[in-house]
Amino acid sequence: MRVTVVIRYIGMVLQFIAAFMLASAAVSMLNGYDSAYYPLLLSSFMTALLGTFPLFFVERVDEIKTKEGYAIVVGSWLVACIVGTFPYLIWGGEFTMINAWFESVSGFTTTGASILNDIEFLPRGLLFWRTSTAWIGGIGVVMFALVILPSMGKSRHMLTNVELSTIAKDNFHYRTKVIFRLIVTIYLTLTIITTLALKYAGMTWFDAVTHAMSSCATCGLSTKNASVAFWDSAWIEGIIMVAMTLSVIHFGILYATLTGRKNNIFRSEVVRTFIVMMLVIAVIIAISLVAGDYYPTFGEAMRHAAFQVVSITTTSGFATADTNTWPAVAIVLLVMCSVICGCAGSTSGGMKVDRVLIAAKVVRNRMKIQLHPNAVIRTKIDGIVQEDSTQSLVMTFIVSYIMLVLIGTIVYTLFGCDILTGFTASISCISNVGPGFGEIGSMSNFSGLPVALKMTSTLLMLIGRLEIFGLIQLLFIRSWK
Amino acid sequence: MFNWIRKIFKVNSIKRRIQLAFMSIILLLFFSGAMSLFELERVSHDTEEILLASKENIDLASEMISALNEQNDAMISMAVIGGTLRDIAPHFEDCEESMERLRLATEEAQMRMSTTDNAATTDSLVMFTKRINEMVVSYINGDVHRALSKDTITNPTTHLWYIESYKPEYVKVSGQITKYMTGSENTLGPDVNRLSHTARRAVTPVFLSLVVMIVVVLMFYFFVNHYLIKPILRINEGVGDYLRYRIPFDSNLYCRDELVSLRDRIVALIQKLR
Repeated sequence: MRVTVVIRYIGMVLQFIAAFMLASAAVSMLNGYDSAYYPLLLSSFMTALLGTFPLFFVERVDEIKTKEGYAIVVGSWLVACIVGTFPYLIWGGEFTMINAWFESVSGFTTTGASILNDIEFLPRGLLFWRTSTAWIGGIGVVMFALVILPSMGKSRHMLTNVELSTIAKDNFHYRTKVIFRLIVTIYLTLTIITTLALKYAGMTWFDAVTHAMSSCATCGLSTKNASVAFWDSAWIEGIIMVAMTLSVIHFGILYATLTGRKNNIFRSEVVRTFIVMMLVIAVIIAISLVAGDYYPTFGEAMRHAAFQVVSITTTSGFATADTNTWPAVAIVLLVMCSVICGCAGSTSGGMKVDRVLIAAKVVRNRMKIQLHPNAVIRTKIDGIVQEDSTQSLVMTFIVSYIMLVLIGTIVYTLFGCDILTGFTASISCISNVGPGFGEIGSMSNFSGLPVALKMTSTLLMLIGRLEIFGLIQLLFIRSWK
Repeated sequence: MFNWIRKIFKVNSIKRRIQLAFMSIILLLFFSGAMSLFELERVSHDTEEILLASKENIDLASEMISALNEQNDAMISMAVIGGTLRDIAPHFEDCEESMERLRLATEEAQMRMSTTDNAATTDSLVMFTKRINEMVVSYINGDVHRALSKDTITNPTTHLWYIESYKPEYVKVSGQITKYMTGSENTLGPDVNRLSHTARRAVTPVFLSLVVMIVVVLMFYFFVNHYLIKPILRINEGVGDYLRYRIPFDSNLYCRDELVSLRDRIVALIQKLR
């Protein structure tokens, strides 16, 4: 493995992050040079320097090997999270070393969990930076950086291996070169349209931009302590729901829909399952809320239930109600949403509908084979036969996911958390959702957790964002063939 | 449009690479230094403000205590020790002067503390001061004027007045001054917090710059070793092997700078010698 090549490409990613820090400093400047201006400017300079330094020595390469690709992607996430702490640390306030690391990892992995007790106290520049980390993370630090840089040649394809799950890659029927432009175009368009819609619905420009960025990254970071509940507007909630839902649908399918191709949203089995699942769960929760006298009318219960279901399933974590107080059935269903999450090839985290669908079909086929031992039954998604290797990978992923959740729960409870907090925090971090239940409910945060648990949470977030194996495989990089 | 950026990053000369590396380190030092100086300047300014505010508070309290003591001395002389009008005349003036000083000092304190948590204490202080001053004025207007006809102003009634009326008020005012002194120092708390925040902001950039600097220096060492020292050693080894054992000179380099040109020239020279 050529370490110099890995350093060069991580450096390029750092340059992009530095550009966003500079943009945040510009926001600070427009806001009358608020207290985040110098921290952001200095952080931008330090990050740019770190990123540019390798370019003085390492020359461009056309071919990147598998090992190098993995190291670049995983290294970029880690380094991005480290430099992301700079503005927080220099600014001070509630940001100790651990808190700054937590907030940075939470942003870049689009988890959206926070340790801040008073978000509105932050200057606008820092709030913008906080949302920027989520926006960069949403599209994948490496993927985003490499689209704009025109010098990669064949090396581009290798770098998508970790960023996009195997299933997502199968669904892309376009050339690698097109994939990057396609993703960025869709991501940017979605963000711009959401910004305009939110502005029209009554938000200020700053809130509209930050919430659009956060919605499209399915991160859930807000500029208000009360999150989206601050506005108490059905229009704003509706717009954010649409943005979140579109952001967790495979970007290739979105592109196909927009360009009038066959494999569009309406024909996709995965998208259909995803939408139907959300609708059914929202209705059940709404009924339980009305039955429990939580809301006076079904319409109001449905409004809050639908928003929370979409927010959790899309791994965003925005809040309009305190779900901690909801009936048990609602909590169980929302936890299930935190596990399944959105579609592959999107900004979503978690197990993903694609995998759950394949697993369900594998189980169904196994039962059929037991009834008809000589039958040849294939697992198909959208009419495409899923190979045995894919099925095996899906089952391995699901088992690994469950094991990690259990290990996470043990660690949380070991440090004094109750079972509900520990279990949901573990799921919430691995699936990059953000809020859980118990001490880390939709209206509270992770600030009360001890340092060890904050570190555990960030580790789980990183593992989840890199599709579990991305980070673990890096530990065995020397033994790769 | 971006040709000049490309030119910066397309460095094919050893000298330029080293220059750029050192320039980066110098720039980092300069910026972190400038940032720290800026923040230290703020720390210094905040410290000065806090010290000044503290000094002014102490001065005011000292002025109040001094005026109150002077008034007390004068009252002891007039009401307890007593004497003829000629004896008490200087105390009479002292008393008026101390009343004025006490009034001015308490009003100044009230103005300074009007927007702080200590405002209630200064309001009480002003009220008690007004009360004790009024008491003294009434004493002077009453007893002293009565004494003018008798040529002496002290009697058992004035003793009693001092002990039962004046002394308790004196204790109240002096207690309130003590309260003001401690309270005014407590009001500097937010300023001290701000100072601590600014001090942290002055230290953090330096700490982060040091970390970044260490990373840059390590990278610099790694790259110099990888792109300069190792190739030179390899060329040297290749030439040595050729001269000693006639092993064909072949040095595979992974850079595009003067070292490649050196290798090519060595190859040309060997071919020419053949």
